[in-house]
Amino acid sequence: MTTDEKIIAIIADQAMLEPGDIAQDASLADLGIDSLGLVECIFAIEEAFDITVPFNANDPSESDFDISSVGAIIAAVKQLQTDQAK
Amino acid sequence: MTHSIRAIAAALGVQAHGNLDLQVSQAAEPASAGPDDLALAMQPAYGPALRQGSARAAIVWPDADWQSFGLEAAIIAPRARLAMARLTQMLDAPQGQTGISPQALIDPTAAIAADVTIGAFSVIGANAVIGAGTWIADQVSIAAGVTIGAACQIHAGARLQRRVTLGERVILQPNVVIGGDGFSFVTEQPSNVEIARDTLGAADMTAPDDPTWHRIHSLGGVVIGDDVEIGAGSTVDAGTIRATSVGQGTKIDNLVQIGHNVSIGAHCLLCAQAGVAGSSVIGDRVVVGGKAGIADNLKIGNDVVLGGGSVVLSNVPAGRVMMGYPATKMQTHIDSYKALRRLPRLLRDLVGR
Repeated sequence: MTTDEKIIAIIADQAMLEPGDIAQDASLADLGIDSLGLVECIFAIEEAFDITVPFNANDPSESDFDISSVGAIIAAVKQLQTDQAK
Repeated sequence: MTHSIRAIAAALGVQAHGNLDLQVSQAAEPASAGPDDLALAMQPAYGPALRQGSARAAIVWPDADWQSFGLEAAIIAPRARLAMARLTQMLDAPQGQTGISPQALIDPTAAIAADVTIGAFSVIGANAVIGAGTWIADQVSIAAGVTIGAACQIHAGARLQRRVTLGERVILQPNVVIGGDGFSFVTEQPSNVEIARDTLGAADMTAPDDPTWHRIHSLGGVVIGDDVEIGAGSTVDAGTIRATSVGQGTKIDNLVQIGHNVSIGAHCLLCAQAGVAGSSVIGDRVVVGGKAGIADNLKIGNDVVLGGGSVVLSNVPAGRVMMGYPATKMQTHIDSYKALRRLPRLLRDLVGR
């Protein structure tokens, strides 16, 4: 599985949708994922990629980690993989 | 009433050996079984107890050397609890009373099919429909317009409120309440609970300008599928607009609460003290362990298993086994728990250095 596919699979699991139904420009809210669902997604991403996501659960918009859309999350995870591999 | 070993083996769909015409009158524990009893010894551990009792016939485990226990006949049960299911179904006495009690209060517009039993002090409302062969105990309330299918068993003290429909062969244990109004209230402005959920409790709550809880009425009723059983004291609340639903073959234990608008699939098991909050949708064949909880507006996929005491706060995909609070995959929970248990030692080692 590519990074994109892994992340989409994690989000699809939480949204109870098929991976094929997860559009890159969809927001988590569009997919019906609420704040607690987001926390579960973040943990699943951390576990899947062995990275630490700098995520402020109390104020997601203040995080360095962009969660505004599926595509943004994928880009942010790739950036973290590069940064944290150092 | 007695049964032959042959008839019992046929009912269980299993093999029997020895004197198949031997008649037994009841089932008994192996150590206390008398000569006319059928001893239940489905595990090798019951072998010694069989010798203590005086049974002439027993249900035994596969490969048992049944003659060595002094038996004249033996029924072989490869799956002990399945044998118990069929045997107890065969031996259970029919419900005591039959017919309609003169003390029952039945609205003249209610449609009561043939062979229905209605016990004393039960009240059947206008236009209620009771299917053929349904057995209703004493002191049951059935509201106007309720529809009950054939061959149901409704035990004492059960309450079926308006807009409730039961399928066929539904069993309601004592004091079940189906179709009570949903716990559904709303404030003018977003309430503290909505704010807490959206912000994950980032800031302390303040007193709202208007704390009034406005009542959302329950107009949707409840639909219970065929072959559902609901345990004593359990409650299924009415839906707001659409019906709260419980799918066919689902079994619910005692003291379970099903909130308004919940949809439960077919062949689920909900164990004692489980709770499902409003509008959550549960798939088919889901097992909810004792005291487990499911928050509102969630989706639980097919074949999910929730361990006892787990509390689900986000959606769960099909087939997943969950545990803990908040519920996570069982393996994740066990890993987290191991790490938690190791934490004191780890900290001690850290401080020690």
